[in-house]
Amino acid sequence: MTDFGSSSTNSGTVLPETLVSCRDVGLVFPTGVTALDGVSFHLRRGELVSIVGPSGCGKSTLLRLISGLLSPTTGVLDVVGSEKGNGNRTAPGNGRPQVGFVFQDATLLPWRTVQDNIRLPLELLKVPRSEHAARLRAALELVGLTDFVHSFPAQLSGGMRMRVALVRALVTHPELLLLDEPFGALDEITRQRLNEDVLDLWQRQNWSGVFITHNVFEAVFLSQRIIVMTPRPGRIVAEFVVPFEYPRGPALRGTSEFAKLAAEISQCLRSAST
Amino acid sequence: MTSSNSQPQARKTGPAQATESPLPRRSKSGFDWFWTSLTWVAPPAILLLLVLVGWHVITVAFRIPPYLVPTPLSVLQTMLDRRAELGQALRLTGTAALLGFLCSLAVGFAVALIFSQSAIIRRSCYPYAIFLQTVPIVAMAPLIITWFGYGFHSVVIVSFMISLFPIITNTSTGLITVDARFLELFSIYQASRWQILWKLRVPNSVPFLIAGAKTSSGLSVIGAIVGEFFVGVSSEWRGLGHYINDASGNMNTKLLFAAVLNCTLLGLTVFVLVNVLGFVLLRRWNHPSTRA
Repeated sequence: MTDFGSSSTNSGTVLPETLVSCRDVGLVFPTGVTALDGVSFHLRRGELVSIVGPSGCGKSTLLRLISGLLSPTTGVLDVVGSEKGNGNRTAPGNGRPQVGFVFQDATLLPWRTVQDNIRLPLELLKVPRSEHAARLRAALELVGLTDFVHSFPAQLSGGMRMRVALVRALVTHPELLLLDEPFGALDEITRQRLNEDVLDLWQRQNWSGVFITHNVFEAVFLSQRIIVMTPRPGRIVAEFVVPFEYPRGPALRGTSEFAKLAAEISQCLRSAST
Repeated sequence: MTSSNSQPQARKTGPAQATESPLPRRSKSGFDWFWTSLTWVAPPAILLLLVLVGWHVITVAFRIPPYLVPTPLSVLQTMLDRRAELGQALRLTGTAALLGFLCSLAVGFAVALIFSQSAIIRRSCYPYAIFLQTVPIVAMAPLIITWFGYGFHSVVIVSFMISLFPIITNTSTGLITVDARFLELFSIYQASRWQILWKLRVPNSVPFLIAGAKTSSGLSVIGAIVGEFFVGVSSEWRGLGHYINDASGNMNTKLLFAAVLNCTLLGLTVFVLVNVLGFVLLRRWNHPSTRA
C-alpha cells in the first residue's frame, strides 16, 4: 500500500496527483465559535480516506469546506479537478470538480420516486435528457435498485434509502465523493453491507472519497488512511495508514490485525479527547 | 454426487435484499370495503334522521308557529316548489364562490412565490396581507359594491378577498420552510434560484397549499353570500344570499330555511371536492397523511 504519511510540508505547490489540499485551514463561525483550527491534510487522486472523531470535532464542517458549501476563514483549501473532468462541468468560476455528497440521512425528496431522486443531480447540472436513461440504468444496476425504481422513499427501508442516496451522489460521475456519517443511523448488519457496497463501488469506479464517521471499525474497514480529529477547536491530532490490501472482504473484520489497528485508533481517540 | 453448486458465500452488492415489503399492501376485499364505509356513513345518517324526526315532533307538539320554526316537511315542500329559482340561485352563488376561490388560489400562490423570493418584499407586504385578514369583510363589502357595481363582479371580489389570506400564509410557509439539507444538496449541484424554486420549494409547498385551500374553499362560499347580502334585493343578481335577505324581510321562514339549507349544500360540496382533490394530489406527493 501507499506509505503516504502526513505530507505536512506546507510547500505552496500542489502536486498533480493531489485532489484536495488543505493548508492550515481554520474556520470561525460568525458566532465566534472556532470550528476548525490549523487543519492541514492532502487527499490524492483515487484515495479513500476516513476522518474519525467525537461529535463536535468539526469533521462535518471540514467536509462542508471541501464541498464548497462553506469557505475557510483562514488558510488555503484547494480542490483541483482533473482536466479531463469526466465530461462534467465544473462549478462555475472556481474550477472545482463536481463532487458527490452523501448526507447523514438519505435526504431524498419525498415526492419523487427512487428513479426521479437519482435523476435530480442530472437535472440540476443540465445534463442532456437523452443521456438520463442510460446513466440511470447504469446507476441503478450498481447497487441492485432496479426493482425499486418506481418506489417512493417512504416505502423503502433505511438501508435502501441510503443506497439510493449513494447512487444519486455517484450518478454524475464525480471525481470526489464526500460521505458525512452516512450509515450512523443504520443497524450493524446493514451498515456492514453498505460498507462493502461503498468499497465495491470505489474499486469499480474512478473516484476519491472522504468518509466521515465516528465508528472506528467502519473507518478501518474502508479506508487507506484514517485521520483523527479532536473537538474544541477542531484539530487533526493523528493519522494512521491502514495496511490491508484491497479487495477487502467481510472476513477482514475478523482478523487480529484489524482488531489491533481498531484498538490503537480507539485508544488514540480516547486519549485525545480527555 | 453431482456438480456441487459452489455457492459463493460472500455476498456482494447483489440485487437488493429488501427486508420489508416495499409496496403498500392491497386494500381489503370489496365486501370489507362496503362494511367499512357503512360504519362511516350510517352513524351520521341515523343522527340526521333522529334530528329531523325530533324537529318535526317538537314543532307539531308545541304548536310552534311556522314563521318561527317550520316543520322539516314544509321546508322540503318549499325547496321542491321553488326548485327552479333556488337551483338558479345555487348556480349563481356557486359560480361566484368558485371564481373567487380560483382567483384566490392563483393570486395567493403568486403572492407567496414573490414573498418566498425576497425577504424585503415579504417584510414590507406582510403586515398589509394581515390587514386583509383582520379588516371585517362585512365592513369592506359596501365599499366594494360602490366601486364594482351591484352584481357579479362585487360578489366574486368579496368572495376572493375573504378566501385569499389562508392561501398566502400557508403557501408562503411551505415555500420558505424547506429542510436545510435539501438546500445544501441543491447547492452542491450549483442549482439556480429558479431550479430551487420549481424543483424544491414549490413541491414542498403543495401540502401547505392544500391545507390553505381547504380553509379558503369554505370561506369563498361565505364570501359570496356576504357579497350577495350587500348587492341587495333590487339587483339582477339573485343568488342564495339574495333569497336569504328577501325571505328574512318577508318573514318567509320556510324559504329562509330552504335557502340556508342550499348554502350548506353548496359549502359541503365545495368542501368535499377540495378534500378529495387534495387527497389525490397529496398522494401523488406521497404525503404521510395519505397513508393508512
